[in-house]
Amino acid sequence: MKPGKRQVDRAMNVDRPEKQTVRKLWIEKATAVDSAEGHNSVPLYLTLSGAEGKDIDALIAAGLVSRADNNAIAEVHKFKVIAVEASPMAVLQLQRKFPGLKILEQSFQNIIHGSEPYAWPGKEHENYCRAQIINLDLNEPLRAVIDDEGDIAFPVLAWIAKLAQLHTRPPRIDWTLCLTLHGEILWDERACEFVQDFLADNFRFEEEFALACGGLLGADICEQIASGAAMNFSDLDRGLQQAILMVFVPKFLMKMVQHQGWNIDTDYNLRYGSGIAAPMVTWVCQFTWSTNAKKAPAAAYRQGLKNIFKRAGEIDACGGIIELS
Amino acid sequence: MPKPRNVSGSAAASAVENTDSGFSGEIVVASRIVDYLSSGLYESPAACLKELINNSYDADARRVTVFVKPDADRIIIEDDGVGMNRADFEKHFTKISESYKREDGDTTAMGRPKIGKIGIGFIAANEICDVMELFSTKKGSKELLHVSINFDVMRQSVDSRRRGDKEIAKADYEGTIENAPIDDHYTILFLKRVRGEARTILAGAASRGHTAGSKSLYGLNEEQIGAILAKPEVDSWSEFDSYSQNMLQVALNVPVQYMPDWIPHELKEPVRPFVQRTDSLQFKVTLDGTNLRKPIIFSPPSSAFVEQFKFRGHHVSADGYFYIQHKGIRPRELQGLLIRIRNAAIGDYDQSFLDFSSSEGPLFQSWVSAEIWADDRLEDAMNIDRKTLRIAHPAYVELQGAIHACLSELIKRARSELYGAGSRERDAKRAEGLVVSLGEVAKAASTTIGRPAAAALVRKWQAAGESPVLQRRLLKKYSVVDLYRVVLEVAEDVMSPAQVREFVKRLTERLSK
Repeated sequence: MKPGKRQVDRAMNVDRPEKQTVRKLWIEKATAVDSAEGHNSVPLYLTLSGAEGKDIDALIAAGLVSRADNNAIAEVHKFKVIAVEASPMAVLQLQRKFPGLKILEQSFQNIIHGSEPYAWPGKEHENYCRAQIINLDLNEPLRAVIDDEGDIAFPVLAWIAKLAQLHTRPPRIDWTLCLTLHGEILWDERACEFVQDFLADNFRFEEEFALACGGLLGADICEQIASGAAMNFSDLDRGLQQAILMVFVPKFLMKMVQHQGWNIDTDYNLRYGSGIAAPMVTWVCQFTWSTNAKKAPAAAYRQGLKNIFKRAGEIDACGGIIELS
Repeated sequence: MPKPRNVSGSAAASAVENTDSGFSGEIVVASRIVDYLSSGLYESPAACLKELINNSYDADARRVTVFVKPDADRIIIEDDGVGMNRADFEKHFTKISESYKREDGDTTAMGRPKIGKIGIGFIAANEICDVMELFSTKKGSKELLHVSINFDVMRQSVDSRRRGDKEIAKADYEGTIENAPIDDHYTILFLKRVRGEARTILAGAASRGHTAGSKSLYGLNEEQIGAILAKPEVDSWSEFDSYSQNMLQVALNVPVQYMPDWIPHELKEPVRPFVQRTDSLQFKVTLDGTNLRKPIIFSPPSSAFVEQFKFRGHHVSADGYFYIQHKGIRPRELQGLLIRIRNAAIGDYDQSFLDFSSSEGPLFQSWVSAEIWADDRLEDAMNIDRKTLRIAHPAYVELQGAIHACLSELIKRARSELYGAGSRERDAKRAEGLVVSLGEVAKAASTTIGRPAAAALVRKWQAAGESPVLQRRLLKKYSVVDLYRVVLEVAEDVMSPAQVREFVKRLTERLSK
């Protein structure tokens, strides 16, 4: 199958102003990380770039990655960017565009060994999974599954928890997660109930968080969540579905990694896609390790919660960022 | 879009499993070929790559794109050739020992003489990877053939792979038929799980038993590579890393074009037919973004000439050129004789010139670089490794004789035109140096022999330097006695005996320093 025909590539190829803005945020982050005292032993940037590799184009345009005289990726930057792409034909398209680019021809799920808690990437892949920026630009909704123990699990968030764990291995590396998901919620009743309970608990114990959620979700939805009355998030309008993800994803991530010693700053927490455009949600989260966070995870967790809505908002159809007031 | 027809099946001896949705089976080859393969048919990753690229050439591809870097864990070879469908695949791949490649004629639809003969080229992939994935479609077909060949079977013992008396399993494959636009035509090979040493060499890292330097040609364009190879200080390709050496070896072998200024302008005429012949093939290969050209660049340090070679024999005919320059050719890999059959090289440059006498003009042999295109009759003498020839074959013997006769004549010509010219130049320079030295002695002695005598001596010596006869006399003999004899002869013309004695004294002091 030609790569251009895949849904993911069609989505990547559409160069909507909103997507351009998201890409700018990634490159802004990559520029900042690159100019800081970095870890040369690991890649700067690991990406699920799609066959077009538009973010790689942007990295090159920003001068973060150089091309050689024959247009191939310069030898000195050969492992600075790692692309992950499972489709052989998309790999070919990427390689044509960026000769010399390191491409892992596997799904990211395979590389990270899914949400298996005891299966880890091999030595070579481990190094790539410890990149300073990991961009999971997923053109898919947040799936919920039942795990082996019969509990609700979110595989993508489990991958991220594993990535965070990998970054704690010596030498420990602070890193940035860029995560983009489809904004539609397709959870079954049980998953909805799980998320509702999770949020309701947090509303009870974290007043500041509850207030901020009110600003995003509206008082009615917050009350409904807190009441415990059964909700089907899929029935909400798409803007609210996006908002539920904006609240739930960073919150749940913090919970998953809170004992690993990370301070998590949510640099951006944005939704976009209005009208006929696909609804999307995107985050840029900075993971900074500290002894304090390791010793006092609850404090770091609470601090993280405050940051969830620091730069939350919406990217409008022209690509402008409208932050929550 | 209709769903691809998938298939999975286990390999069964000599059987091809068919369903409506796909196919699977086992690739079997005659045992003799397996033995060849097992004995290391392709000695280097470059040999494997050039076999696969030559397959693309045989498929009338005009452009082949190869991706190896950054670390050669996967190699992609993409061509825009005629492609293949399932029937072609099963015909060409699953029975390797038959001469299928030429049963439709020995030239391609484009008129290229087919390089492949017995259809073993793809087995080259087995030498460097564990899995090969193939995508191919033909113009006018809506089918995209997708086959994955697993070479793991090859690692098993011969006995466990034996299928009947003659055949031995080579690999398992699984295929599907997917959809493709009707106008598309291409073949794409993915060599996956590239094996240890091959991966190390292709990636350009140092490896055991492989002489490699640190310079790399990766990332350079063809002009830059041409400029580097033209530098006289590049003594050998071994100064480059193993990635670059592979690049050069592939480019030398496959029928890509020459560089624009590969030979000095004044020598272009005799090689024009061969350049045109190669150009007419319209075959381009790109490796990691670099357009490959033949890595043959001649930058003569002084004089050089080119002699065309044409031979029409009973058992073989051939043509080509001999390039001879004053001084050994650099890089050394270009010294010797390169034979091409159907435009593909047979091995590398043969520095023995098909076992030419090493005692005949040994100095001059390193001054020669020749390319010879032999006709198909020499192909019968070619071993399956495509790098050596059977030395008892009549075509080989006949060509060897013709080459040796030609080389003998050229060595004579080189001796008289290049070496002779060189030695005359050297003689003149040495005579000039001697004249200057003696003149300096005369000047220094002017206090004792007097200025007029010293000036006369200098003039005399200068005149002697300009006279070839006296030069030869000066340089013919090198003993000190001879030198003094000439000096005295000249000095006595212009000086008194006392002055001559003083002059000789000064000269002796000077020579003994």
